[in-house]
Amino acid sequence: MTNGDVAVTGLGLVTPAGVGVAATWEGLLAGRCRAARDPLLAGLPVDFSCASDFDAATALGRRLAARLDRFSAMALTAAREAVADAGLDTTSWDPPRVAVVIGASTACMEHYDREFAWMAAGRPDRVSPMAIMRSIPNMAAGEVGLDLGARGPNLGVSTACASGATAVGVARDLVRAGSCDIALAGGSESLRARSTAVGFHQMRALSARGHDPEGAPRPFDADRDGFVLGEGAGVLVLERPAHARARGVRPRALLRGYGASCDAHHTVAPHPEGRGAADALRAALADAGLTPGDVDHVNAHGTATRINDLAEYRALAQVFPTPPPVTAPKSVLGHSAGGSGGIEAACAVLTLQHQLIPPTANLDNPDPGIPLDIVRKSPRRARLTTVISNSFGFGGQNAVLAFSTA
Amino acid sequence: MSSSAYEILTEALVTRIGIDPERLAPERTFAELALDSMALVELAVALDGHAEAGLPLEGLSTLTLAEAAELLSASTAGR
Repeated sequence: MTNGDVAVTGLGLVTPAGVGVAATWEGLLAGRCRAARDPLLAGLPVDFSCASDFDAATALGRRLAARLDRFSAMALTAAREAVADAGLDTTSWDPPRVAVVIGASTACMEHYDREFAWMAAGRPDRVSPMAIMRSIPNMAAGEVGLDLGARGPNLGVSTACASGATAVGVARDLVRAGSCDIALAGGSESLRARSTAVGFHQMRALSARGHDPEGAPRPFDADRDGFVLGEGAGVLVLERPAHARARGVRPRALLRGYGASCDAHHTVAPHPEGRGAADALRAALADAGLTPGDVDHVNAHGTATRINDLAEYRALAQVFPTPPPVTAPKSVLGHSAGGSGGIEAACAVLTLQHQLIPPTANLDNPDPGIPLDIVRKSPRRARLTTVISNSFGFGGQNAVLAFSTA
Repeated sequence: MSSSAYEILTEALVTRIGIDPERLAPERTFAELALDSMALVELAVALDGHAEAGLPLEGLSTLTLAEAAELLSASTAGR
């Protein structure tokens, strides 16, 4: 442990594998993709997604469910679980010392779709007065702060598909800097929206495997053809190790390093050699005081687009003489964009705790151009001291987190 | 009190604002249901054509649901 390490004392998850940490971990270990035909997307060129069975009214009650957009409702549900998991009592914590940082990119376009259909119909008078407020990407953090009475630094961060990981990194810096004692950090997003589906389809980023939704996300497979729309939230509780000790709480893991970078190469395409991703990997290791040989496992960004997976492999091959075993949770959960970084950070922590690497689904025909040791078919038991979680966003924005056993 | 206007009003309260149906009663005021100013605007918009003429936002929170339903049915009848 070094002085800059931050303790992870709580986790909360809402994913297509279920509501809660236990359901998600079980789903990841089962290694079966959750994609299915989605009534919300009926009639579109891509009409399937990885949907969560999350019901906001069940989780939060009717009143909050009516007020909150889906991504805020998922974030709040995950935050409440994380706070309980950390053994925190919101009635006795010091509210101005509790920060909330939640990442989101599109947040949830479905709400905009619905409200602005009134504009197209020539009825702007029917647009909800909450149409904007409900959906702006910082609102997940705002609603979590409001619900839990957390009055410290409160912000949303947006780095597209890396947002959740960037949020964890930014929150870690707030804890390190002494700007707060406790930080709730992660990401939340629902990509299940008609405009989102069409937009990503038009840029050829989505899998078109409509005849076989469960087999659609195929990270690192030779037959991969794009990602699958997903939704979910992942929230971590961060605090200084001494703060956790004083509360008598044993951390789930330590967040040791955070590295961020920009490809500065192209609006949406990753640098073909994975330059920016490699920079972020090196930065995270340097920040943690680790060498490549210390890393036992990589929780990959692994979207299953042709170019992401190849660029990610090249980045790993640059940094690691022999890359450690890899897994790609988006093969099971789909891609929740801003939510994924938070979900996968939690997944990395669970992997460390259980000393068990969940498998990558649908990897039937490994791409010969990507000679990585990818865990597939079933979970792999391993001695794990340090794992990293990769997240890369459109805009060339990259975030890598390094976690070690507590 | 117009029963259809009351039904339209209470349905909007349940579906748009998320009020528990068991808390709805004609003699309840919007204030008792804890509708803030933003929720009142949302309700007014949800009630569409009824809203502009029928539900003045000023003083709305002190009205009972029965009184609001009366205003709604009067505005509908006047169109």
